[in-house]
Amino acid sequence: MGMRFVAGQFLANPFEALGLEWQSIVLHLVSLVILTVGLYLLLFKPVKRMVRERQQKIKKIEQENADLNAEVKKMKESTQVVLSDAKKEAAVIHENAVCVANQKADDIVSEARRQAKSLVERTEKELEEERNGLQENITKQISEVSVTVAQKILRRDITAADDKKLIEESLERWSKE
Amino acid sequence: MIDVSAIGKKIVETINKIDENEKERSCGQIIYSGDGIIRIAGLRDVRYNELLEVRGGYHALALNLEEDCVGAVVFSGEDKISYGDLVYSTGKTVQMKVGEELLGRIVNPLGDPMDGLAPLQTQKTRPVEYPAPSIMERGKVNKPLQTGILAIDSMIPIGRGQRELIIGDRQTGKTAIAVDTILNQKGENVICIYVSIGQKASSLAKIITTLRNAGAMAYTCVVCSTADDAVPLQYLAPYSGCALAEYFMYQGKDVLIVYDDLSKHAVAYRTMSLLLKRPAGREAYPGDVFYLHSRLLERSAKLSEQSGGGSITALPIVETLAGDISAYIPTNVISITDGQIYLENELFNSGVRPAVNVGLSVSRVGGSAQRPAIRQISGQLRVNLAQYRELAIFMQFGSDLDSETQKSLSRGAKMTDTLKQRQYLNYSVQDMVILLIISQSDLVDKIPEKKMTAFCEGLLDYIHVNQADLSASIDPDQKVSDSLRQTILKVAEDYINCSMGDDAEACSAAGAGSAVGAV
Amino acid sequence: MNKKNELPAARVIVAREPDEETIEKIRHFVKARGGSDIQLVIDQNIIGGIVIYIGDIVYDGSIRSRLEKIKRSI
Repeated sequence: MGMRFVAGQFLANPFEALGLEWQSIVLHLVSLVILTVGLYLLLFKPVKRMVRERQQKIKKIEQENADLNAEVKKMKESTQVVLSDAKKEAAVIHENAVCVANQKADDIVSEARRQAKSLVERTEKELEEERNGLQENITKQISEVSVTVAQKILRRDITAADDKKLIEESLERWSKE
Repeated sequence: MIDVSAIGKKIVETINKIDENEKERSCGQIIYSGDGIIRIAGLRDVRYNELLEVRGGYHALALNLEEDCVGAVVFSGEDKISYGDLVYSTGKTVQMKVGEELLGRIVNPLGDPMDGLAPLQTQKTRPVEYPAPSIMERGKVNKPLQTGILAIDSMIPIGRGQRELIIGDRQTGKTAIAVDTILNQKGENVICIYVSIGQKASSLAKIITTLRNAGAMAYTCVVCSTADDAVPLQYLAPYSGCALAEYFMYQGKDVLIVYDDLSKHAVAYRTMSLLLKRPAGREAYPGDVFYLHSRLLERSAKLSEQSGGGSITALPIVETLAGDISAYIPTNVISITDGQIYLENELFNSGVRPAVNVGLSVSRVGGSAQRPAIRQISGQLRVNLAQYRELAIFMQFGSDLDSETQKSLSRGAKMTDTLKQRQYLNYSVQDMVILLIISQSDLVDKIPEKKMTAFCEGLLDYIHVNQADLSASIDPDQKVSDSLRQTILKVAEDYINCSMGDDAEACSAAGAGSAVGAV
Repeated sequence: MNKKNELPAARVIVAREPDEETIEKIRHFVKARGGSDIQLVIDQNIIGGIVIYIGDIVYDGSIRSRLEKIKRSI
């Protein structure tokens, strides 16, 4: 029973039992409320905001990553296209260059051939001329010798009568002119 | 190998053909002989410029008719003529052998072959001195003579029948321009005559080899008098060449004649005049040295259609000393000719070849004969170049230039590079149109400055081989249409893209940065 | 050279002394050509024939000149 009494007493005025007054409890409650509200306003909100921002940032980075990945993929594809294009282009350029080079080579070869041909022709002509020159030389020698011989013979063999005839012939011819 | 009996037969034949009878002849006796000059007593009825025959088969030219004697110059045998020898008058002036046969040959001023080949069979001759075509015989210069040199054909065009002087110091490429022009007449139906007056035999041999290798001798005759020839032969050479040119001109053909060079001709004439004791004038030249060249160059003409329409285009060459074009002979010849191409030593040494000074070079009549396509696109060229040169000189000391100036400097440098041309590399008219269009377009900004010359050559090769239709579609006698211009630019752009590649991008990125250095 | 009113004397060159008849013929020829008198010169070098100078005019009918002509034209 005693126990019951204590319990009943306790229940009837628990604060008193604990040595507290209800006013202080109220005061404590009030201060607790104030503290809670203050803490909520001053600490919890900014932290929450920070967390939210971080989350957003992470999301954004993730998004970017995805984009980049896509881009890389795309680039890989396009590189292949460019590469094949470049290969094709290179082939065309090479072909052009080869064409030009071939043309030039042909030109050079034909030019060289032409020159060689003309050189041969010229040399042949010169040979021919050399022979003609030689012939001419012989002719000259012969004529010189014959004229000299004729001079000697004439000087010895010409008679006064021949001379007279010659003079008269000349005079006659000049008179006619 | 050598047929002796044929020789004997030939001799007998010739002897039988000779008319051994001498006719009455006017004669005189040599009373003075020295330095190639003879004075003759007698010969009272001799006329000025008459050909004289000296005993022994030598020839002389009567130049001074005085009261008691005749002064004459001998062409040969100076050392074999002696005092008292008889000199006969011939009643003829000096004659030059002419005819188609002379093409491909090298002859002296009297028409005797000097190339060691067969003697000339032609019977046709023309007097060496001959009056110039009269006013009524002449026509208007209306046909271009392509030199194949871009700088000349675009800015200093030469017409058929024009007289264009090539003037410059020694070793500035005067002869090179003339030879290039001769080479470019292949297939143009122009007969060329190259007159060498008092040249070194070695340089003449080089020119002849060049002409021969290029196949140009087929339409060319070389009239040569080398430095060791008798002075009277040097004096006669240009007149002989001109007589040969006239022979073709009066047949209605187009002829190009190069006198290389007239300053040596004037010197030869001065030698003769001083020895003949004629009064000396400025620079010791005789009083008629102007007439010496004016009567020669007046014989170059374009004949009217009624007279056959032939023409003689003359390219006289005059050598200056230290760039002095105000000396006696240069001023004379400049005033006689229809324009001049002035070559400068400085330009030549800085790598601008041909070293044509665009500012001092003019062509007084060739403009009307220029191909319409070229005229259309080269109109601004001369002005642009002049502006560039001025700007370049002005900016030489400037350190930081705005991008606009840099750009125009770089463009000017590229234009100058386009006009550079290797010797013996002649451009066709189509090539010229292409190069002129590109060098004046925006495309040049894509080409690195140092590669401009290589680009021009490469582009032309590329077009010749891969775009043959394009150059065929350019008609030089029509104006260039816009669509054609676009096609040309497109092709050039393709070529830039595939040949320059990274360089082009680097160039446009670096912009005109390099331009400053280049200037 | 010569004074206007004075007729020039002709110089006649022969290889050997001609007879009177020939001299007369020569004199006649020279007169017809405006010469006054003849001046005879014997010169073996012309071999044969005759050369006459009247003033500036020469008539050359000598064998030497004929031979020279032949030599030159071959």
